[in-house]
Amino acid sequence: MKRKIFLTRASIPAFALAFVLFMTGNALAGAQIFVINVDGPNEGFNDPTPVAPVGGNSGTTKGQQRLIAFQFAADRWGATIDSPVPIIIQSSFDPLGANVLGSAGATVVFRDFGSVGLFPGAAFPGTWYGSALADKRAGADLNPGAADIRARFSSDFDFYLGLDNNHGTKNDLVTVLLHEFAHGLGFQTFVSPSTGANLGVSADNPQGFTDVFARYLVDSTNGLHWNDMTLAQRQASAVKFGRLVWDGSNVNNDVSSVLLFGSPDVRVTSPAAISGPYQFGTAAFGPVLSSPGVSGTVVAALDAADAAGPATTDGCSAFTNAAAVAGHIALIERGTCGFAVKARNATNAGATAVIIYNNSANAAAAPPGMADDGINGPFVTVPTISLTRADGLSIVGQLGVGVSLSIGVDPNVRAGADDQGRARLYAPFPVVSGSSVSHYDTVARRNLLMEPNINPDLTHNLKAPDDLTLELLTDVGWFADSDNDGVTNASDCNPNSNLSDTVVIDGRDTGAPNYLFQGGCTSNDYIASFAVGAKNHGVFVSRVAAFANALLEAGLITEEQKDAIMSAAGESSIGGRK
Amino acid sequence: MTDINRGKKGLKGYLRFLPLFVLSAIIIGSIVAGTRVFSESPKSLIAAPEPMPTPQKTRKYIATREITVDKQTGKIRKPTDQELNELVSSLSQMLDRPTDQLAARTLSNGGEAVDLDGAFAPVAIARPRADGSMEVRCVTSMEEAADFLGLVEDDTQ
Repeated sequence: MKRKIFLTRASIPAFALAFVLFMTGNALAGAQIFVINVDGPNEGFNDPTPVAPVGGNSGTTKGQQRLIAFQFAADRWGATIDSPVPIIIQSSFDPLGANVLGSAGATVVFRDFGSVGLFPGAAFPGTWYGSALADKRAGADLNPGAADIRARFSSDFDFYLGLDNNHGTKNDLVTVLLHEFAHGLGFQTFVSPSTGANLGVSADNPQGFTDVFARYLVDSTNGLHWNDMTLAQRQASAVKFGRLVWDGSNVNNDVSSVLLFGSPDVRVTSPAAISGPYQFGTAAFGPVLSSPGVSGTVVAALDAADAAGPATTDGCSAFTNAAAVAGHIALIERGTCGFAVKARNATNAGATAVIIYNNSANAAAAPPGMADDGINGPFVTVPTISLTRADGLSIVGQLGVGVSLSIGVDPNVRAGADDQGRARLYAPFPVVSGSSVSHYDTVARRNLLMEPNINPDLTHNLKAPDDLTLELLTDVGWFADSDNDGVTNASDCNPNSNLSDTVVIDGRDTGAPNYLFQGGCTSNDYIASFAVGAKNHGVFVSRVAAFANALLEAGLITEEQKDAIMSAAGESSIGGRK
Repeated sequence: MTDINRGKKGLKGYLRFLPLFVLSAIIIGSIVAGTRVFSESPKSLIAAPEPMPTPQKTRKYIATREITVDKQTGKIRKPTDQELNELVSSLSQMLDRPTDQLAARTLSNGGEAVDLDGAFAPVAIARPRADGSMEVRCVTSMEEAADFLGLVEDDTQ
């Protein structure tokens, strides 16, 4: 019954008509994304340095190849999301240093921005949306002519510029672009990373306004979403490793088809004062974490304060309390000698596993990934993990009452999800004020595009079963709308409407306006539906006549236009007319 | 086609009430047509990059790990003072962006827009692995960048 509600032609957005003119004869799915080169002569995208074509990138200068790779990544996103409004990415290459690859983000945010035609506008009041997403939901360009995303990349970094992801040991520019563009499209919060404050704080509104990404962040320890938290609660939530999860249905419905079972897990099981999962780093030596893993009590290793290591807790020499360590999990302080040396000494003492916690020199650092030194690693036969200094000291503080701990993987939980199947966001406990909640957790397996680590095994695929980026963007408002009429495919009476400017019947252009109706169908869609199942030509013509008369009575078409429609229907071969 | 077929299902009834539908459509359509997007005056199309933003202050850092691949030897080493200063300057300009001073402008319907002025733009950075490849991480704050690159604030400055 949705179709009984019509829109007047005046309510059809002008941009939609223009869009149709541009796209006549083509599928309307997707979004146009324009890369605007703002580099000066002979730099960045205009770098004239000759290069050989590589990996499907046909550019013959470095600048050309950069631009082609940018547009390739933009087109990849353009083919994945739907928007009636072209997305503009203001783009440049600048000398940013060899350790910097580049950045991208939304240029402007909007809240309470309204909409045109059938477009839904903001899903939540008082909520910030990035420019491109706001435009899509408004159905119009809210900041006409201005960029939606700003991308600045490093001309100092030696990217792989091919399009085929065959990057070898180099870093694939297209993959990095897909990641950073996703931030600009909405995979980010606008909560301050340093203070936890919402954007838009003023004297009248000291709480500011939340953003649409934050509305889907939930702290599993208290069940609160970020938009319902105080500033202090958000700050605390941002560093709750493993406890900050996504609460959007599109992501969580696809978690099971993307993430693999076997969530790596380091967990103190007693005493209660420090029990729970811990953030940890892994080692490049020794056995990988597995199920059932290792469980046991923790014993602090002691060794001589000698030339190998000045502290009795650094594990750089043979343990002096080897008998106490044997059969237990050894706890060692980082520093002086290599990780593999410490782990080898623990293995020799009969430890069942090894924990190395940061020393005072690394007091503010995250748990390190531990490299092999090429000498001692092969002698390590027990799993080894690292902890922050704070976590290490909290265990040390409880050794008097006994600390039980498990190291392994939980075979019943997917890596990158919590035990309820919700995707985890990256909320490390470090150090820093605020953290990177605008990413999936690094424990995700398979690797996801939107983890903070942009891993070399990533594909260019953006959705399940390879990835969960599109799913998150869908949750925040990038609804699928193949014909870009403002009605989500799931509720559109025709997700691929004929949006031509005029009514066309069997190839005959009537010149009568083609209306878009509430529910997402057009005049052309309805006339096409009259043809389906028409017993004969006469039935089809009579249905069209009824429709045309209704339009005429409503004042939506003129008498001449009605006649044109009837003439085209009558002359058509639809329904079997000879 | 599925949707078209669905539309066909109630076609006779639909046609019978078509005039009534159209009449209601005029009323409802005029309401919908009254929904407007509120934006400000169009800006000129971007033609030039904005100037590099200035961070509030640039802190001094010490490099504690080898993050630079020497262009001459290809070996990994700590950055020189100049390289470190350039790196910190670059990162500070992108990540040390004050967000509490960003001003909102009011749209004609009471909604708001905020120009982010380069803030909230995550940055991808890299450090070398032992095999010569580069490990990449996307960060959202200077503190995260410093942690990843092994940069420690210099308290003596």
